[in-house]
Amino acid sequence: MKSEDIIGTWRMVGYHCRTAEGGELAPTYGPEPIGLIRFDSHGRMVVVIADGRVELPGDVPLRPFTAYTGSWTFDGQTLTNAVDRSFIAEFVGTTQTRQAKYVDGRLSLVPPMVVIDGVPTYRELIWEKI
Amino acid sequence: MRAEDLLGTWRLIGYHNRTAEGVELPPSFGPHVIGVMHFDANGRMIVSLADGRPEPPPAGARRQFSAYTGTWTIDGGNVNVDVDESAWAHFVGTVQVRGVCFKDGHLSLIPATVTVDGVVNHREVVWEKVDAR
Repeated sequence: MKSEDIIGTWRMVGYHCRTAEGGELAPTYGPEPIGLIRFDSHGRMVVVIADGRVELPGDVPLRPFTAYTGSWTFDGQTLTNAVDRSFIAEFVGTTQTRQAKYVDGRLSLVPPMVVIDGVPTYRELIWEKI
Repeated sequence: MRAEDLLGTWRLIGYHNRTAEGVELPPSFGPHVIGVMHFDANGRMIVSLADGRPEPPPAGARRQFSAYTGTWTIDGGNVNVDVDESAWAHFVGTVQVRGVCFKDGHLSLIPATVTVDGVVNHREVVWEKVDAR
């Protein structure tokens, strides 16, 4: 992949949380996530992701949501975002990295592993260019 | 206007602030905006927009940024979004009303006027559809 391949608007078509062995875990943004990213040719990006269910179950009191903007670079393998505004305050001023590759014509972004409720969780975000 | 007209994914192509007479004012999100928006058939929507200039905003200014999600409905010539999560805490629990106008193949959303430094600003947010799904 080249930087030129990243430029454009992408719609989320999958958000997976898995164990190290590949077992599916509860997805962060529910079973019907909606999300968009835009990477522009000037090196800026915006992203927004939300749980897209009309009704949330009783054990999900707050709608899962994230959004941020920043500059972006791509070295052929790692997508790097320097975040300057974000829904998540702790993101501001951080550098977010995502391993990026094409899988079956779609863009797979893999953030670093995160521990959720004591379980190492491997996330994969799948995007389709539109 | 039909709800079907809004369905799909939109890319921000313009954000204007104007006087009542149509004179351009400094745009809320800077001279180079970037944004995306999606209305789905289940009645959910997401939007994110930001000042997209590569260089930092002028000294002392914070880069403008907004994002929210909610349930959308059509009411006459408006789209109403019942916001349940947002990068702007004061948006959560509000109903955001935008006038809707289609012209030249683009979608214009018109928020309520806002007063900036004593000047009444009439805003127009212009979107281009990139996918109908």
